[in-house]
Parts: sequence; C-alpha cells; structure tokens
Amino acid sequence: MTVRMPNIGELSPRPYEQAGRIVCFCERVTLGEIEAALGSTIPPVDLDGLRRRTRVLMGRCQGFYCGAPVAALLREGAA
Amino acid sequence: MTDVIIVGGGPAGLACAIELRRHGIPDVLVLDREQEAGGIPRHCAHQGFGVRDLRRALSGPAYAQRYVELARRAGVDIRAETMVTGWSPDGALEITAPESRESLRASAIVLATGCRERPRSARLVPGSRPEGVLTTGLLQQLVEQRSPRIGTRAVIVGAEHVSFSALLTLVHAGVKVAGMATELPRHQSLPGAAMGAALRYRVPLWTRTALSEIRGLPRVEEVELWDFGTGRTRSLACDTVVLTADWIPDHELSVTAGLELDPGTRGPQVDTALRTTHAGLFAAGNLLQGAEPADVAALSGRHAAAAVARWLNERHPWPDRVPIVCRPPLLWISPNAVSSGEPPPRDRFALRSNAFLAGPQIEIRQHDRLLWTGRVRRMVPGRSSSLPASWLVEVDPHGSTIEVQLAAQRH
Repeated sequence: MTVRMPNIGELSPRPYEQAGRIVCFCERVTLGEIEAALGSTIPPVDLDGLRRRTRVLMGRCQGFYCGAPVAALLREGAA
Repeated sequence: MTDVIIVGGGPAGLACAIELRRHGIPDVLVLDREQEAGGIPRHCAHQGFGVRDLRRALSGPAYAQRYVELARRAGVDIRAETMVTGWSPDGALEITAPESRESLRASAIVLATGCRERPRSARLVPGSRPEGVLTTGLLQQLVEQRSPRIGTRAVIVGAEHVSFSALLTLVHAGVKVAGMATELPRHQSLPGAAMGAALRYRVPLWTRTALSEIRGLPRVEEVELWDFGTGRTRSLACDTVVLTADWIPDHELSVTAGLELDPGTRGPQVDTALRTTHAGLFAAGNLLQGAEPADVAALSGRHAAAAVARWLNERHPWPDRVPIVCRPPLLWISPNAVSSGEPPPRDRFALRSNAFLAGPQIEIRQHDRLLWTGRVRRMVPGRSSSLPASWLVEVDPHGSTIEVQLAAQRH
C-alpha cells in the first residue's frame, strides 16, 4: 500500500491545476509563477531566493530536469 | 476515447508510437512535458546514437530529431509542453498544457517516462548545500546554454560510461577536472577509458573512494574524499561536483497509479510483453530500469507496441504472472515477471550485478526446478549482461516466484 504525504506545493490551489507551461515538473511550478517571482517588487537575486519563493529545484530530482531552464530564466529575469 | 496515450516522448515513447502506427492503430498520442519531444538524447552532444535501432551513428540531438520526424511522418500526434500530473479516480490521465487542463482517457496507456540520476540528497552526502553540485544531465544542459553556473574546477563522482561523458563535457567546456572517484575497485567503462582520461586529460581515477562531505557556501569550495583502502580522508579543492550515474526510474506516475514496482529496478514490474500489473497499462524504456542506452530503450518501446496492439484488438483478460527475483550480488533482471512464453525485448533478459564477477555461473529456478543454468561473461556493475529467454516455455505461470542467483549460493 502506498501512503502519500502531500507535497508542500499541493496544500493549496496552484496555477498548474488550471493550465500552464510546467517548468519544474516535480513541484509543478509553472513558467508564470517563476516570471511572477522574478517580476515582483523585491525579486529574488539568485537561485536560492527563487527556489524558496516558488519551490523550483526543491523536488525529488533536485534540478536534474529543470535546473538549466530555471538558471536561464533567472539570468534573463536579471537582465 | 483515444486508442493509445504514451506518456513520454523520448526514444522509447516515440519508437512505441511509430510501431503502433505501423500496426494500423489510428489514434496514437504522445505527451511530453519538455519544450520539445525527443528525450534525454537532445542534450547528449556525443555520437553513437541509433546503432541498434536505426542502423546509424548519430549525435544525440540528431537522433532525437530523427525520431520526432519519423513519428510525425507516421501520423503520431505529439504534444510537447504537456505534463501528466496524475490520475483521476476513474483511471484517466490528468494533464496540464499551456492553455488547458484536462482529463484524458485511452484504451491503452504506455508509460515511457525514462530515468534520472539520483541527486546529492538521495545519495546522503553530508556537508553544506552550496551551488555547484550537479548531475550529468544538468551539466550537459548548462554547457549547452554556456551557463555561468559551471565552475572552473570539478570532481566527478562515478566511473561508468556516463561519467566519462561528463569528463569530456567538462573538458570541452574548459573546466579543469581534478579527478574522478568511484567507490568500486575498478571503473565500469570500456577498457582504456580511465587510461585515456589520465594520459590525455591528466585526470586521475581514484578507486575505492567515496565522496564523504561537500564544503563551502555559497558555492562548493572543497570536497572530502574517503579512501576505503587506507581508511584515510583528504580534502580536495574544487568548485563543482558532478554526481554521475546512480540512476533511478522516473516512476512517479507508476507509484501514484498503484503499480507493483520491481524492488531491484525500482521501475514498474513488467512481464516479457512489457505489461504492468494493471490491465491496459504498459511500460517501456528506461522507466523499467536505469539506464540502458537510448537505442535499447527505443527497441523496448517498439517491443511494447505489439502487446498494446493485441490488447486493443482483443481485450483479452490480463494474464496472471510470476515475478522474477534476484539474489545478491545480482541486483535486478529486466523484464521481471513471466506471464507467458512471449519473448522479451531483443529476445533476452538484462541482468545486473552490484559487484565485478568473472564468468559467473547463473541459475534460474522456479521452486525446486532448474529452468536454466549457464555462464555469463564478466559482469560489471552499471552495465547489463544478457540472459537468453529459452527457458520461458518451462515456466509455470501459476507457480512460485522465479529466482535468479549465482550457482554457488544454492540453499
């Protein structure tokens, strides 16, 4: 029998439940959520900040799939 | 309702789709969550892809493109940027796409979600958690992007084929490679690989050596290496750690579907026709075990198509099965269940050991009956050895579990 503990990202409604380009697959973080964080009033300046706000890089793969796209988005966002 | 939905548009998923179209199945839909279909080979710059399946030797990106093109030409519907996040209570796939969220049903579903390298946390490496700890998969993509995240001085953990690929990737990106460490007594790649690395790139190979700590913040500053042979630890300055191999199937959907997983491979248990334990659900490619080469994954996908087509045409009862288990030092066998005499992909079973074995005598038994015995050429951890499938006809599908072990270990 599999017992599941919800991910932190599953505790409240998330954008991926409506639609979206999911960038961080493990934590279901959409491109929109990442852009919103990068475009916020006090944006994150590094990956640590971005991951704390959005959950990117925090899932089981720890960036195997999303690490490069997320790094690129941070670079573009900072530009 | 769609005939078949294939989750994963890498070599296995695409090859399965193409073969299904060849069987005349009208509606074949492939879903891939990346920006483009094609799978992991998209990021593998080296050559040698496509030997066993396409009779060519292509670069990874060319191989991936070729499969996407072949699938499109065959009339397969491919949707990229489309992720299956879970299952609805009635067994439909819950899918998120850029403009929509839907629940899709299909008469047959093939899971072809591949495998990944386990991260630092799963490998239980103590120390700080700085920037600069990568897997090969991540390294390849960062190099593709010319990302500043790649440092200047790296240590590679692991000495399988993929580890030497990581070495070449780092060297071509201008990163100094301080060394390569493996916990095993020898490397696990082709003869001459380590010698070549040492001579050509001056990269030492440290065997019986574990990564025992990572230090530094915000970026890696040094690692601690622990030599089992001498019992001593030492520090090595570096700013990048590349964790290679140590594959695990990306089995989230298999787990949430409630499929039985094989304890050795940690992928869904499949019979020789690649049926999982749920009626109508199949699995192929490196989701079954990590990690075979891309062309082997493609052939696995192609193999599954026959059973999928048969299911769609006949809706036969889902057959009972007998699992196959391996005794240490044998780690896993793939496929890992028998329901009939149908042959496995490539007419063989893949077997892995966690130790170097020289010409081991293998025995396959069901209860007290010896189904097969034979000698396998040397076994190398991380690389598959082949077992023939001739013994399948001897299996009693309602009998007890089949056991695979070394001959010396009879009880």
